[in-house]
Amino acid sequence: MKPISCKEAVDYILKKEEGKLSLLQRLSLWRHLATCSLCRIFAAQNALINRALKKRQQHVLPLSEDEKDKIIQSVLKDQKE
Amino acid sequence: MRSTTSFSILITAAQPHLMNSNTTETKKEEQFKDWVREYADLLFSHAVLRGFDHEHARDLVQDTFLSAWKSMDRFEGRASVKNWLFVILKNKITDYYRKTQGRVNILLSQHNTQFDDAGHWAKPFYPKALTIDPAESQDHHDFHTIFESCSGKLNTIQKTVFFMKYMDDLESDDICLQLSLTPNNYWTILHRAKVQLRACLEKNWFLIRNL
Repeated sequence: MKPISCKEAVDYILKKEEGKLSLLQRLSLWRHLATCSLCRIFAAQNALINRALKKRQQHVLPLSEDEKDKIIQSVLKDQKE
Repeated sequence: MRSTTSFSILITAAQPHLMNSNTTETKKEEQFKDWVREYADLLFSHAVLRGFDHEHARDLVQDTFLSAWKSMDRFEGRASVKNWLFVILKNKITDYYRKTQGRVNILLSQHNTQFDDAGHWAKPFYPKALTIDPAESQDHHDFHTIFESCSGKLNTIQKTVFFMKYMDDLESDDICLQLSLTPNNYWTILHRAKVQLRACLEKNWFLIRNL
């Protein structure tokens, strides 16, 4: 099994999320992570980013009533022209 | 004489129809206004979370409602109004991204400086250990602000791929198809977006926490 570089390891970490790694690639990644603390940190922070992305979907940013009225007016005006 | 009769018949025949169409028109307008008031916030939030600035997001929402208004007669309530509006918005966003396709090759030709030639992390970009999980901590609000500003710095195609994956939960095959990207391009884009976002978060958040 050929050792992989950090750049490849980052690729593998991302592909693993989608289940797109072969058994051999999973083993290579596992072996790389066992010896590379930098990539272990990357993997942890990557997981954190993914969690943040999921949470962030719950944020609602309201539009003001004024802006909603503007949308209504411009659409109805557009229609009448 | 004959022509006058047929003319008056025309008027009486047209009258009820005219009144009817007026009330339908008002009803339609009222319903439309309700939809804007109820769903504009959600659509706007979605566009902003995808990385559009507020002005651009507002334009997308307006454009969505314009299309909705035009095809309102064909909306038969088979899907929920909300889902229907979201489908329109997502199509608008995909259209917008398609138009920015030309930039992909320029982006991919840029050298990735986070790794050295051997594929090892370049020293200034060594990932640094984090102390706490900001997504779980009370400082969630600060993290959110930093996260928004960092993801805002990604370029358009990075944002697209990123948010199609993490907001729409689309798989790489779907994303490649929709944006006409090769799988290689896709992984390169995602790779760089992640590495760049992580570096920005680290600089602005992880380091502050370590002080």
